[in-house]
Amino acid sequence: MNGELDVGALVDRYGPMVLRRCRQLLRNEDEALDACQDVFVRVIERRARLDVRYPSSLLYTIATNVCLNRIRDRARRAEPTDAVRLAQIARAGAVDGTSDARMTLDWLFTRHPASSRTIAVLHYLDGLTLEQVAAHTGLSVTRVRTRLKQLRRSLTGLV
Amino acid sequence: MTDRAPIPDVLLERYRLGELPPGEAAPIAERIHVDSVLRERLEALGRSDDDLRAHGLIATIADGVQRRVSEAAPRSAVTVRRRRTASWLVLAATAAAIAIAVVARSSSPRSDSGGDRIKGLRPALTLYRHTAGGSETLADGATARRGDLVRIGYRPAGRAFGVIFSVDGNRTVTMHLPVQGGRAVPLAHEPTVLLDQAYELDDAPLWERFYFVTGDAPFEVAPIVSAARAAPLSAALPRGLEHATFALQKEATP
Repeated sequence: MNGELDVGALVDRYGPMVLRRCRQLLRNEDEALDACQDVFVRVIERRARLDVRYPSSLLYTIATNVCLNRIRDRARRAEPTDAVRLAQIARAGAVDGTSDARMTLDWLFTRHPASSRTIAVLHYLDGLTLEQVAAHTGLSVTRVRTRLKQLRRSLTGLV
Repeated sequence: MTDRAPIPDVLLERYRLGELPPGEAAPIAERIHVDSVLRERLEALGRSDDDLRAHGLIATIADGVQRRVSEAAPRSAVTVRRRRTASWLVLAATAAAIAIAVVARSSSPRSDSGGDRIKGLRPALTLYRHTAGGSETLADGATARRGDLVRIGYRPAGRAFGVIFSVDGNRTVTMHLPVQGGRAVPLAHEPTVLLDQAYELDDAPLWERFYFVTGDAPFEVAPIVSAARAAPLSAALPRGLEHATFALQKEATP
C-alpha cells in the first residue's frame, strides 16, 4: 500500500538512539520512555515531510524538541524561586561541569522560542558546530548565529 | 587516546546508522582506526542497543507508538505492522557483533592493494530510471517511488571482484550482483557496466540504499551484507575492501 509505514521497523532501527537522547535530556526513565513514543508519533504524523535520506537527523531534532518542551513544562509546574534556582546552579557546578549550563539553559528556555532552545542545546551541550546545527534544524548558519546571540544577550542580563 | 575534539554523540549515532553525509562520515571512519576512545564509544552504543532490545524497551516503545497512532488515526493510511521477530533480533545482534569485531580488529589504517587499479578513479554506482521517452540518470539522493524501474550501472575502476546489493527502509536486502551466490564475482574490465536486469522498486518506505563493495580478491558476501544492515560499511569492511553507495529516497505517499 502506498504511504504504508512500518512502525516496527522505524522504532527498531531508531528507537535506541531516540531513547538515549530522551534519557540524556530528561534524566527520568519513565518520562524518557513516554517522550520517545511522542517522538515517533510526531514523525509518523509528519511522514510526508520526512527527510528520508537522513531520518536520524530529523528524529534527533524532534527528540530534542520534545524533551525541551517537557523540561519547560516541568519548570512551569515547579516554579522555583530565583533564589532556589540560583542555589541549584551554584551546587550543580561542583557535581558536573555541564549541569550548571543545562540549568541556566532551562531558565532561558522559558523565555525564547522552541527553535532557539534546540539550537542552544545542539550547539552548547552537544558540541555541534554552527554548520552542523544549521543542517540539523534546517535554518541558515546566519540564522543560527543570530539566535545564539539573542540567547547570549539574555544570559548576560541574567548573570 | 587523542587530543582531537570529541565527536558529538549525535554524529556518532548517525554514523552508526550510516546516515551521515560522506563528507562527515569519512573523517570519523578514519579516526576509528587510531582513536581507542572513539572505538569504545561506538562499542558502548552497540552494547546499549543490545541492552535496550534485550530488556524489551524498544518493543515497549513500538507497542506504545502503535497504540497511539491507532487511537489518533484509526482510518488513516498508516498501516502499523509489527516487524520484530526472534530471527530478526538474532540477525541484528549477529550483524552488530560482526561490525564491532571487525572495527576492533582494524586498528591500523587500511591500505589499498595495488593491482591494475585506475589511478584517481574509485568504484562508483550509477542508477538510471526508465521513463516514457527512454531513461534518465538519477542523482544520489533522488526521490523515487514504488513501481519505478531502475537499472544499475557500475564503474569498476580496475577492481577485480565486487558485489552490489541494496537495503530498503524495512532493511530488506536485495542482491543485484550476483543475484545468487555467496561470493563476490569478477567485475567486467570496462569503464562502465550495466547490469542485465532492471529492478522495480517496491513499496518499502523511507529509502533504498545501494552498495557496491569491491576488492582485489574474492570475498564472502554474507558478513558484508549483515554489517551493512547494522552499521556504516566504512567502519565494518575488512582490510582490502572498499565500497561506494547510492541512495534513493522513497516518496512518502499519504
